[in-house]
Amino acid sequence: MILPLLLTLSGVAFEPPAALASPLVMASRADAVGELLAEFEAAQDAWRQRLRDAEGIKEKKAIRAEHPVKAFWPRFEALSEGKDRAQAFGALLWMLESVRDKGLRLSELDPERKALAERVAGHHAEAWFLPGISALAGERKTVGEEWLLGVLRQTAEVNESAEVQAAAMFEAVGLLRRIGGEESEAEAKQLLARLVADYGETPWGMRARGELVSPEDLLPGKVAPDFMGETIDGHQFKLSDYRGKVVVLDFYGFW
Amino acid sequence: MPHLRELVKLHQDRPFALIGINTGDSPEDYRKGLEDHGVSWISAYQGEETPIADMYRVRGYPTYFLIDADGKIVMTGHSGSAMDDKIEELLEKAEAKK
Repeated sequence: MILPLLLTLSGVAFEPPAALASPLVMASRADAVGELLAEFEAAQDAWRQRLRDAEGIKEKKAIRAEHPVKAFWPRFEALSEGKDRAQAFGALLWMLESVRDKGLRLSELDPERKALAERVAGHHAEAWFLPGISALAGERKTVGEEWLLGVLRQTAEVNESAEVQAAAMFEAVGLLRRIGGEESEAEAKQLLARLVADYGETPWGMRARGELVSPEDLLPGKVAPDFMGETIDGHQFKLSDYRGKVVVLDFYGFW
Repeated sequence: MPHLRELVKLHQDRPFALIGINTGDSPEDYRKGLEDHGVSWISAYQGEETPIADMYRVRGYPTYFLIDADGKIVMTGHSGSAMDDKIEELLEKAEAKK
């Protein structure tokens, strides 16, 4: 699914705080790539309908061979080579996501995916790179964990948006823990500590603090991990404000 | 909810606090819920993201953490009334200290 990947930020682990949301990513909604995407989605819906209506294996096979990705590919490719780099990036994301429907032989598919991933990674310093993080994470097996980790480390260091840096750090933490081992865990902890220090009470900092809490830290006898809560009217409070009182924490929903 | 409401009323003049952490309600449902259930105590609204529930590894609802006056976790569970005796014990301890 291309559209959700490009048009929302849902690919990252969680929604960034509104104040940090990148205006560039938002702005790319209504533009050349956006229009082409809409056109492609419509073509794909029509193609799917034809496939559903087709009778017999032969007809289905013929329709399957005409996947709209093939017809749209040159147009996205042209955009990906255009002067507007944010637009080029949007086109590249589509290409990376769609290349498997291009009808390539398996032996050609992996090299092409790698090449596209490299081009996406070329935008790692740009404010609009956010959806690239989850797109590349999705190619983990094709590009390799070490390569992906390298891109994430770079992004965390040099990206011009604090929000994208944080997202890269979180993705790196997940990847490091997947890789496992003492060294990886040490680096993961370091990244989390940096997020706690630099992102304080934003959701990024909160999430990092949560990641640093281990199940053992929640056993009876341990000091309850501190957190900042906010009422729906914007009043902020900390658990530690209630020291000296017996507290019942009630996690609940009205649903 | 009725039990919690009673608890807050029962201990209103003692060093006791009930802190709600809401997960999963829309802002509209949440506001309505606060009113319908007479939630007079402090309640954090998490919206779509649930950093506090994640931090506390909450897997089911409701989940309770009973915390003493020193900030230490005493017990956890899913039944509010199961904590009643322990709350009384902790309150007496906290009051004796004062």
